[in-house]
Amino acid sequence: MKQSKILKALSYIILPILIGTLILAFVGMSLEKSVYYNKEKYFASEMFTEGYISKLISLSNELIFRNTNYNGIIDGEKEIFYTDPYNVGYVNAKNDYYLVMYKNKAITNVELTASTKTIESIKTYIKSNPNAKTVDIINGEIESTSEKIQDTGIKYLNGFEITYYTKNNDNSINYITTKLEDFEIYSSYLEEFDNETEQLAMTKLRDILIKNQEYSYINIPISSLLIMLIIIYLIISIGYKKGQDGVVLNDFDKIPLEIIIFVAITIGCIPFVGLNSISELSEDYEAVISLLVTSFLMVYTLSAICLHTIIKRIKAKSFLKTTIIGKIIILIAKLLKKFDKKIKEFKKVLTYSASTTSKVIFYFSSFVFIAVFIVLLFRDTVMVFLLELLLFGFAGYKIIKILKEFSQIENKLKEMYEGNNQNKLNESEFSTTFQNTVKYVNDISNGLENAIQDRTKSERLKAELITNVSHDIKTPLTSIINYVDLLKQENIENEKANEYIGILDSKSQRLKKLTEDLIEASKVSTGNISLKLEKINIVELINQAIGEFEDKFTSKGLQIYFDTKENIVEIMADSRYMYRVIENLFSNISKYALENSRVYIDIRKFDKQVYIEMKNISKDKLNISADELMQRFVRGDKSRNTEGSGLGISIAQNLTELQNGKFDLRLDGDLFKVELRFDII
Amino acid sequence: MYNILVVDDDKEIVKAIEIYLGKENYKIFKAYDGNQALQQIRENEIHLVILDVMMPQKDGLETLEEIRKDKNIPVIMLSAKSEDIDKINGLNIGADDYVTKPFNPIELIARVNALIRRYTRLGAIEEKQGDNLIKNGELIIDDELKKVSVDGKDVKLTPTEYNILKFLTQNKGKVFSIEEIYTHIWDDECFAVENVIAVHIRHIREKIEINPKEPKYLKVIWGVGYKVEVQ
Repeated sequence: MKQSKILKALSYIILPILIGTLILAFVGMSLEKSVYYNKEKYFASEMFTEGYISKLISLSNELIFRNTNYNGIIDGEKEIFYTDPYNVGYVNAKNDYYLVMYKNKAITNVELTASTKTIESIKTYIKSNPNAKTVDIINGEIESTSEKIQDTGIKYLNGFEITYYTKNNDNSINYITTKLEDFEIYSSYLEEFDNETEQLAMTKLRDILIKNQEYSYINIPISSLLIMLIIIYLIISIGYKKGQDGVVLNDFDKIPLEIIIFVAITIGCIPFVGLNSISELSEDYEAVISLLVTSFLMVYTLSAICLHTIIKRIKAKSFLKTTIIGKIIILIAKLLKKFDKKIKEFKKVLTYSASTTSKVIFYFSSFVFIAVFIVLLFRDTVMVFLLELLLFGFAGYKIIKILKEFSQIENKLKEMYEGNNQNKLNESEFSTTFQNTVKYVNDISNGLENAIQDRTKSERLKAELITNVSHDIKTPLTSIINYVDLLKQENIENEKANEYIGILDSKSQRLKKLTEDLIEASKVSTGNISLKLEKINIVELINQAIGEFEDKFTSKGLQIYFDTKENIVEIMADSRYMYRVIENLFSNISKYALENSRVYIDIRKFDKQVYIEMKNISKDKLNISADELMQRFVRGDKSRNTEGSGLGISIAQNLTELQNGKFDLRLDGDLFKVELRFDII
Repeated sequence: MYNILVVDDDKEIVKAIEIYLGKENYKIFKAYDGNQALQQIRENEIHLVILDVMMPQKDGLETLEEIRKDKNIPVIMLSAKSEDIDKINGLNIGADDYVTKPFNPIELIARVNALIRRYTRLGAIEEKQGDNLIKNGELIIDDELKKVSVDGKDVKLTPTEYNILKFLTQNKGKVFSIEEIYTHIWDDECFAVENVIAVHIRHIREKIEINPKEPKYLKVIWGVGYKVEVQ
């Protein structure tokens, strides 16, 4: 159905007929209602009455001012003027005659012939038609055979007054006011439209149309419906041809639409121009109607062609491409895209590749350029002030933003410096200036975090390895210790054998101590222990520890001087691990202090902290730094011959730090000094 | 003559323990893995088991669980693992004691003796209850005779040590600082003699505890004071 040529042709032919019918129906309806185009209604209307009276008033005016250009005749003492029937007047009535008299003047549109050269004969002529309506105004009263004018005409004459002046010989002016009573007016007209008017033509058209008017209530909806259906059908089917897929554009459809529309409008205007001139000149209304029909068909054809091609173009999605404006728009869009791409490329270069110096130069020079440009463009208007304010505001905002972002980056770096790699910067929150910086900072942060994690992991693995190896060592060690002990219990006479057994005994005991300390040291150094921090009294703890070590100290002849003014100094610590710290230090003292010397232990409070100080004189010369001493497996004599594992100080230091304390070791000659520091609660 | 089962996959350790305990007049049964141990327990009348934790096939903890299904005999766990959590695990499953490797033979023997005494004399001591008897588990203080015994073995204490232990046992579970103990015992102000108490306490521990470093009864709360643990 879409491709049927016959159906389409039929549609194009039926469509104007239907549209025409519809138009005529509407025109008929409006003409029927119109007063202006209905003879009976028109002459009985106020419109006509007002127009008619107004015409008489203006005739009176004309009469008074018609002093010169005499082209009439004289009847006795009266001058009679002839006026062109179309010169004056607002009404359209057939055989419309009048005679207006004032003082010694009269004006009429009755032709002044031999039979009408006196006032009386003119009056007779006016009244000669028995079908005519008369309107006479004598002594300010209206006498009319038209009921409407008789009833309502007087109100339009209300306040009738004409003022004029005459010049005397001495050039002085006389003002004269005339009233309605001063005039004598006779007139008559037929209640018919005059031949040459549009009103008559329209009345005739109306008479023709009115014959079909009774069907208009069926005609209008049916026509409208059919028109709509046909238009919808056409819109759907336009562009499709038999044997072809899709919408096919021909050469005509490729002509720019503007040209087609321009030509169509130009052609479409021709009949209207003709119509205009003809309606003025010709009284042949049939010609007018035929012209109207022609122009309607022409307009229809032209708009059908235009709409046809427009629909086709829209369907083929080439509407924009086949109009000049569309082509321009497409061109501009292309140019904009290109320009945008260029700007983006430039921005990219500026953001990522350009050096900071060139960026600063670029931004600063653009700022100066714009600032100068504004001043040059607006000179000394208020706009300069406003725009410069805006520019400076914008620049200030940018600078503040950059400074803010810079401080954000600085904060992040500070966090990283302090060892916190948790928070990452959000790249999208930063302006392009810092994009790279943020990326680098985040990468470094991630790298650091990974490194720390790896290190923690490897430390843990190391601790685990040490623990496992130690456990494995323990089992054979058990046998060694036990059998050495059993050997000791055998009664061996050989002195050398006994000496060797003694060495085996002490070394196996040391090995036992070593493995135990090794496990603890590795756990403590990786923080792989769970602390239970509670309030403990460090004075009490030192006293308890001294009690525990009393034997060992006494056996070496060490005298303990425990000096403190306090009875209770409370700190937060894990009671067992805190004792372990003191135990290790005391054990060190008992092993390495010079025999028969004094050991000083002080507890002092200072600035919300407690200082626990232990001093003793070393038995051997200490040719090693305090730092080395605190490292694992290092001992003062470096020979590793004596008892102990060398891990004691390292464990003590790590445990102190795990309990938020400070561990300080100082060597001064043979003086061995350890200072622990904790916050007092 | 009591029968003791020693279980360890290390044969030398089993043998060493056999030698030590043989000297104490115990009859030793040996097993080298969990299954053998369970078989020995089924076939013989065993009074005490020394059980290694880390063994192939069935480890010590599993074996212990099996034993505990129908036997109430004392079990000493033996392990190279010295972590607290390992000990707690063993004791939770139903071990009576826990000894870490490498162990001190004397300590092991002492623990075996204590457990055997406790296990075999169960109920005998109850009859002797009187007004002057202060009891905390196997720690018994006879205030009338001024005698102290642990696991049925008499302990000799000096009068001061006796007073301290009595005071702490009477108030078992409660922690006392050195100053409080001093004030109570000597009825005097404590002045620069704090570690005297600490020394006494250590001496008491050395006398009543099998391993004074890991006391069972008289515990040290470092930095706070001392207490007798409620058994």
